[in-house]
Amino acid sequence: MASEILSAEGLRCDGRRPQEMRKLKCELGISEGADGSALVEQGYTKVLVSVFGPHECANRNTRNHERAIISCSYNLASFGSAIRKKKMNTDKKSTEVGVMIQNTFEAAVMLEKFPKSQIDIYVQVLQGDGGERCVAINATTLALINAGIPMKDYVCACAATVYQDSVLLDINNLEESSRGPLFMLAVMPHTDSIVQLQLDHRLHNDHLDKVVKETIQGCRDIQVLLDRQVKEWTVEAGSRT
Amino acid sequence: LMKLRRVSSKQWYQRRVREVPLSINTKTFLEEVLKQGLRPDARETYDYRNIQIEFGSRWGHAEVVLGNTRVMARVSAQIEKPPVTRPMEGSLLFFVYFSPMSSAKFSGNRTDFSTVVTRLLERTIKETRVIDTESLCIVSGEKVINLRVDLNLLDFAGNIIDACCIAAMSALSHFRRPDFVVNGEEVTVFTEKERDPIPLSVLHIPITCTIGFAGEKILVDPSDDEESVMDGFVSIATNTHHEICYIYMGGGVTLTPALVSKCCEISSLKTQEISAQITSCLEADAATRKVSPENASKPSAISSISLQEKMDKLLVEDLTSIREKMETDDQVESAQYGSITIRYIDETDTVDTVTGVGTVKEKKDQTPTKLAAIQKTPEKESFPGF
Repeated sequence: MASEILSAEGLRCDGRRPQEMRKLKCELGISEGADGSALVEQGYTKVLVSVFGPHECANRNTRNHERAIISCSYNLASFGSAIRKKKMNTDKKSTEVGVMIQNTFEAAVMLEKFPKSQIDIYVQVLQGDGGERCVAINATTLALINAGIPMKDYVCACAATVYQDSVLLDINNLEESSRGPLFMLAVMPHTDSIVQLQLDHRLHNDHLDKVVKETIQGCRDIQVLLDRQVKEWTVEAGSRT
Repeated sequence: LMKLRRVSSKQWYQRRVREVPLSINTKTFLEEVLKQGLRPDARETYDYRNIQIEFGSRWGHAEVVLGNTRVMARVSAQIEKPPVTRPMEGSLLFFVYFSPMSSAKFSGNRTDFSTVVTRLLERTIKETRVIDTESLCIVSGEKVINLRVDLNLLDFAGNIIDACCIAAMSALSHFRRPDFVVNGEEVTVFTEKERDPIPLSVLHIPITCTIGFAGEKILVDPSDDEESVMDGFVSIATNTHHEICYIYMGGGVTLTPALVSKCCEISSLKTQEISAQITSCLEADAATRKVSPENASKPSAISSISLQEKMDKLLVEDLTSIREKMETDDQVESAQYGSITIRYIDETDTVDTVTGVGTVKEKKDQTPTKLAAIQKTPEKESFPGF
């Protein structure tokens, strides 16, 4: 098991180098009914995000008169993981990830422009092969851009783990289940401001700085690819009459 | 005299007190105070509020008061069949309840935040392997000990996350599980009476440290005033081995890598202090129970008697043998775990039930008098006959 994560030659189980990211494919505006939508594939992980809003806040209790509120619902499809998910109702993990995505975008979206409104984000993981939360954040960024909601910067997320003193970026399912530290970072790349930070399992304090630095670099690489796709879509959408 | 109106539980549930929002004056005052680099309760930037840890009489009962935030944690164990996917491990479940009596904000329903705190505890304590779950296995695939930690927020004054984590860790370090012995196919689980229960194997102690941010100002251990005006917070769990166990970021705040490092350092320092406090409180509690740590895992005298098999089946046939053994057993009276109550229904002195109530000493005095009463009455009745 141990040698599968990182072989003696420095290759990971899917043939990548430690700092190498998975292949990223993304598409904007695929869902007609939603105000904004995006589909992002990183390796075998596929996530679809739909955004509705800003619209009038349905619930008077949660309405904020100074800014918009974000509500996020995260769902892993029952066919999305290796073992078919039996529980169809919302469980703790889905709620937690939904709250996490909501917290992430509260810092990035210009909510003061839409007082008393609500922005709904629906995240559906179609295929999960590790790093679902990161792909969800990347897809949400694109969906918000597609919906025309003003944001301070792209929010790009990347997951990493530390194995034998080397940092492995963009981890897949096998590497996630290896019980090593799982570090997830969401960053606004132009200013290097960290919007979300999550760590699972134990990471020694000495490794922290290195992991943060390498993960930010990974996020910057993702931003380049997302930006390229957004520009292509803008040109294509603008040329449609 | 005020008559208490009987309110049905449904009405009480619906009549939720709406939280009074912060007035503009209060908000402006708090923002100004923070802008000037001070804290509303005159603490220094990195100071925690006073932490008190108290343990109850039952094992696994801990109450933590952080400033004015009070959380009660109870650990309980049940022997159940493990799932097919994990036949050799026990499990650890967390349940967090924000009681409506703690604050007007909480209606008692399960909210997103209570789910977040439950998950936070799961990820900090369960997923970093604080408890060695393999030691909770009795018979692989058949019987394991499942632990359940219930946390109740009794009073809210800011920083629920830290209070819950300290309470959960204190309770788990305090808890004792029942002892058991496996002889081939036969499994014997001893009650607290027969053998002293064993503490859990706690591998490390992660403690969270919540740091709030209000503009430029860092607020370590935010109180409820500070929480209402802060932009966001970060909770970092570290243990005494300088390992970071969990990081959670909440709300609309952005950090720089340098700030992240700084927060991890603050968390490390605070963890050392708080872990030391938990350890000293545990030792103080152990001293009050007069159970010295060395004797904790030794079986008490009563287990060497065949009595233990009968206790398991809750049937005692021979009353006299029990009484004899109780009188010779000195360790029994010092036990605080409850003791044998023997009730008998008729003159034949057959035993009705065996429960664990009261202290042996009281019953020891009562048994001869009760017997004497039963023997005396026939004589008294016959006297007037003469």
